[in-house]
Amino acid sequence: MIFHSTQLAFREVLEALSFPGKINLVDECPYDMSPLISQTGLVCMTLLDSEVTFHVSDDNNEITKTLHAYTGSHTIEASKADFIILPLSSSMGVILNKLEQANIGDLVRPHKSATIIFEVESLQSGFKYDLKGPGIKGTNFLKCTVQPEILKKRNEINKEYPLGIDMIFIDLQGNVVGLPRTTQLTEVI
Amino acid sequence: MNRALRTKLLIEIGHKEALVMANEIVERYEVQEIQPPRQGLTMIKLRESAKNSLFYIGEVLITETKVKVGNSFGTGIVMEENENLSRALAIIDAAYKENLPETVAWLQLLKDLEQKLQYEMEKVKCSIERTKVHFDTMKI
Amino acid sequence: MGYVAVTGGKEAIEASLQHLSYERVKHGKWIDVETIKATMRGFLDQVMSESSLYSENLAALAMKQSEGNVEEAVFLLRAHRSTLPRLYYSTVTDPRDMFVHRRISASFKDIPGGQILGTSHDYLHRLLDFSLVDETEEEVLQKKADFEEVEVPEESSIPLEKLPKVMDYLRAEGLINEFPVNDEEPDDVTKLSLTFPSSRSERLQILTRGQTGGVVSLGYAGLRGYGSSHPNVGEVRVGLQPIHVQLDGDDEEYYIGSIKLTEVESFIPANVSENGKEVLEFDIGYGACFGQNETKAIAMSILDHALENPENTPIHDEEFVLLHVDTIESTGFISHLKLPHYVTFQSKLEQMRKIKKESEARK
Repeated sequence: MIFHSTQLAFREVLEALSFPGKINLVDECPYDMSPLISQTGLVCMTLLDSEVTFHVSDDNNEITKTLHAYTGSHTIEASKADFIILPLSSSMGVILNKLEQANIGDLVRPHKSATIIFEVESLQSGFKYDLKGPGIKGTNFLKCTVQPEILKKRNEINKEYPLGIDMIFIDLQGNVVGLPRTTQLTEVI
Repeated sequence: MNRALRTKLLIEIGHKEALVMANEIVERYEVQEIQPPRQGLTMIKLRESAKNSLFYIGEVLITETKVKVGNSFGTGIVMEENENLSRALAIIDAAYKENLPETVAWLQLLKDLEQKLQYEMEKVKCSIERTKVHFDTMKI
Repeated sequence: MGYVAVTGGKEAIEASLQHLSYERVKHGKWIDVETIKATMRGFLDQVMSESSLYSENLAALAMKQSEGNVEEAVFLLRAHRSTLPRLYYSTVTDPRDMFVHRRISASFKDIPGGQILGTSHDYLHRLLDFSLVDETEEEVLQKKADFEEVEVPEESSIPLEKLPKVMDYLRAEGLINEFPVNDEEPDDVTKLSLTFPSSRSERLQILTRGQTGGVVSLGYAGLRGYGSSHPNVGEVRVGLQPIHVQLDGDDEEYYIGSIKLTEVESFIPANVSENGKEVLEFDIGYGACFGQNETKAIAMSILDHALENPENTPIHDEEFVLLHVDTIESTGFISHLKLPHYVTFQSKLEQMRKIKKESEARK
């Protein structure tokens, strides 16, 4: 049954967001969700349902159609979406643009902000970032292929706590890392 | 025939027919069940006539199934618990979306069902009409 | 003051539950859910309306399990409802599309389509029918057959599936205070707790799922002078309402079934200002609920109108009405009084003893 898979995936995503930088492994999705990374498909099936909205930054709406069919969730423009999904193929320009548009909530309802589900090549090699904040004893680090420019944008968006966006990174190996808005991130050069 | 009428016919008087139609598809094509029949709710949005606004009057229990045939997703939704009918409706829906040749032959069958439903409704209507008041002025 | 946890009730509770289970079977008799569904229409309609969950099967099961206790059945259904995912929202459902089984007006004698009495208890003498005590299966089948054999007109002449409304009559004469179509998404009290001032959609949702007795009592109080909305029943219609669902990016709807619905429009005279002039028009008070619950729907229409026009009496006070008509809230709070309050009561007792002692000492 799919809910056994999604329950396990939920624990992993929860763990990832509780301990920013910690690498968690999510199972493959039992259904074909290509061109999404299989694990992204499972995370989407875990988090999306008919009561929330999503936005996918791809040109053809194959992914949108698939996600709607499997989750019953509704697609909407980026600025209003509860979840923004950035597939691996997204260009730098598109990513920055979507982050820019993402809903950061308001002071009465900061929890109504967007969660970004972000596909990356690797969460084990690439640029190195220092992480600090709740869920991290002292300092943790994140090594990933996400460009510093993107995370700089993320820091800008999150400057006015409690407003901001939470991010879930998923790489080609199915690793998952959480980056909630409470985490302070600096690039290590 | 549009989908609203098709689903109405199958749900109101065509349970048996729906199962047969779905079976035709299952026998000839690969049907992937992406959401096995499950129970859930549909919230009803009602138009009220005093201020012409909308409100939620409550939920109905439904059984929902989703299948994939070829490249098309089919959805079957029916009130109450009815797994077999829900699954059959999903398969039929996918068959229409995928434009399978079987659907052409179904048209006559659905038209027969439509006639049957109209006949049944007409019977109910005639019976209810007996309860219509015919006012006469009292003679003093 | 904190709560003190006590133990020791475990065995007693288990034994009590055994007594409860025994009570349902002790006569060696049972009723199957199908029979309840076929014969307890009024109960099912009331329970489905109050639990705001439309399923005759589940309502019948809840009746069996609760031994016919409405309060308990509604509790079971509301609890069950909260375990199910809400998968869809219907498209806009308009009772103008109802397949009408009964429609009457107390305001106009001659209405398009006529007064259609349909099925109702209203025209009974309310005498107990002792012949039902020993009713046999043959008798039931005979009564069924007798009805089905009655000759009916060969062709229907009333468009029951698209019956015009009585209020269109007043509308044609420009006597109704009309409002433009408002497609704003409704609020949902099952997702967000009620805050005041409430929205119209919240009010109607709370009233339609309100406890039948509660809604009727308050509606009655409104008529008797605790409110100033005095209606004429414009139209009561009962029938089968088709429900449709539409998926994203799809332009065709799915029919998912029909539900039994009661809808009421009450006509209430009101002063409306038009181009700076005060004119007399009719306001509509609106009531609608699952199943055939006509008294509740009429009472709802009175309360709807009263709450749309706040005044200084209880029935026009939205907090008074809306916070007290919900069955789970009222029965839940009342029955919580049965829970142990040993410590709170002990402290009251001690205070009283102390005061008594002091006043006696002063004498």
